[in-house]
Amino acid sequence: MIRRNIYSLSVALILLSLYSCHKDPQKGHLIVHMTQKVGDKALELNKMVYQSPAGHPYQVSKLKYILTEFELADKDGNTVKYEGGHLTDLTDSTSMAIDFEVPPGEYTQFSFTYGLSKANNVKSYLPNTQAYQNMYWPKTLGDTSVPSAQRDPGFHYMQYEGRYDSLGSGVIKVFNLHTGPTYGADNSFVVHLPFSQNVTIDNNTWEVNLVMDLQEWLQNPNLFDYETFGPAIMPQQAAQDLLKANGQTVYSLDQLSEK
Amino acid sequence: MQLVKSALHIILLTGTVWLLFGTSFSCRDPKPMPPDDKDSFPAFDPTYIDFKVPEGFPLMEIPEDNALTEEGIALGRKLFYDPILSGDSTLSCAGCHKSRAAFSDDRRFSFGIDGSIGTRQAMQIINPGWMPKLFWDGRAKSVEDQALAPVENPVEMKAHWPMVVDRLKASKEYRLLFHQAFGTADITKELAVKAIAQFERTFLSYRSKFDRERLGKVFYDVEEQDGYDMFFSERGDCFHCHGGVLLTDNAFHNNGLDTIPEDTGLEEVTHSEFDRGKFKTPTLRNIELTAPYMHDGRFRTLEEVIDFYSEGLQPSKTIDPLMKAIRNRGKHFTPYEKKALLAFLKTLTDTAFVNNPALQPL
Repeated sequence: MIRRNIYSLSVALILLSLYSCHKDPQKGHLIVHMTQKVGDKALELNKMVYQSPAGHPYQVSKLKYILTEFELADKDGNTVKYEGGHLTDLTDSTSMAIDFEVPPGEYTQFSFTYGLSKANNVKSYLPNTQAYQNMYWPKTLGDTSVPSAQRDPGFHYMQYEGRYDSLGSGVIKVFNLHTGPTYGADNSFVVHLPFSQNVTIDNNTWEVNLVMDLQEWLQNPNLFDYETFGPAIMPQQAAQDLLKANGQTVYSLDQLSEK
Repeated sequence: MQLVKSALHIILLTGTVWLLFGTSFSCRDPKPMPPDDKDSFPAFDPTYIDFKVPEGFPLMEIPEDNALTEEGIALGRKLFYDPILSGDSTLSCAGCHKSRAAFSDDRRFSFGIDGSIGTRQAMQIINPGWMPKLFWDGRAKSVEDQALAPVENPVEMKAHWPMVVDRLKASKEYRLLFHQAFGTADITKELAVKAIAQFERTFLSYRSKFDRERLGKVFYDVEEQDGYDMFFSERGDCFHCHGGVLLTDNAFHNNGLDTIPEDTGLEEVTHSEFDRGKFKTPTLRNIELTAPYMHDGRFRTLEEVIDFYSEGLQPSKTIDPLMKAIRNRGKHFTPYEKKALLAFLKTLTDTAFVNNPALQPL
């Protein structure tokens, strides 16, 4: 009797051990690498090698952006949603990829929200770390119809900064494309990106580059000229509107591969 | 059949023994080193601190190998105020980080033990546990790393760690304190700076009027509120570098002090010309108490600092794009705006912090 009990205990412990050490075999992975380019050129910080559509040579000195509400859709239109978001910061190498755990399926599309939707843009939606606190949107530029004590304007969506040669004549000025919820407006938008081929997940890993083309913020459909709005666009909804429209063509997927 | 049963029996029992003892052992903390034979110390039994982040503050990352304990903090406190760390035993950490100046130096440059003068203002020690990089040029990557440097700096404490460690080892009191803090009386510089770092992580400033206002406990007067609105809007545009509850982004910026900077700042560490003239953003907490200002202490008063951002900015190749008014040399604040900004900055003073008995000498 005692021996039988020892057997039972042993089997239970070993099974429990094996179970706890083993990854869920029913999940695969999609690793999304956050990459950037400027038109047909690779992004190199602090190099005055780019030409804006408005005709100004420019350089990029800083780039940070938040994406939220990631979603995968399969060929039948079923979706897998991921709560929370991700801050990409070019100075933080650990922020340059996201590893999604994905249930088995045949996926056709990757979607996300650029920035945070109005409902989600509150401080509690994202982790309380210094990196995210550095993206706080100030109360003074939040929804002023809400009393200051209750106002929680959440986060910037993007901080894209640099310098430009205003007339191509050596007069260097600065630009700060800071997007976010100007006085409570929802300037976020949803991006849907079909995969170039179906992504079949079954305990395997796929990788893909999510490319941000910085040049597209400045064109298509609107010409965005740094000179028009000056270096401080956070309170200027007209500037935010242009960028929101241009943002639709900023993202693409590239180099999809199965590992 | 009996043979198979026996084999199975052995395998199962072996697995069970491994599970019960092998795995639990691997999860156990390593045993502390016993104290030296010549000393008779009580058992190593540190009291771990259940550290709570002040409301609204971000998570603090404390190194796994340097958890806060009452004993570690007490040792760090003693070391911080003990001139034993300096070459001639005349200068302690507190000699350049004075509580009345929010643990910065009220002199433009600090004096070393032999009268040598440094080239940068001693940074304040305020909420250092949230700083991923320390010093004006960010050369230290942790609080522990920061605490190593001044001891051997020739214009500061001008000592050598082996000599300092020998002194500490010669002290029975220190042997006891190290044993109580780390379970060993085998003193090393690594343990010494761990203790100092533990103490410095308790330098928490979170009880200013700014904090009481953000938590809805008090209201600003009109002038303070106007200053707040300037600070956190494009008018003053201070918040991009001095935002969040820490009032620093802990990043590096060229804020327009010099067209050709004598002190190249971050460039000294990264060797990148794009980092020329960039310095770590200091927290503005207790800014009223930390004069003089900037990395070289060039401004004696807050009024001078505000004047600089109003009309004194200097262009340069690495000027930060956040210095949006650089084309006009500054924001050109009105006299009232300057006054309001100053009133707001004074709400960042945390007297409970600078007078905290736990941060004073024993």
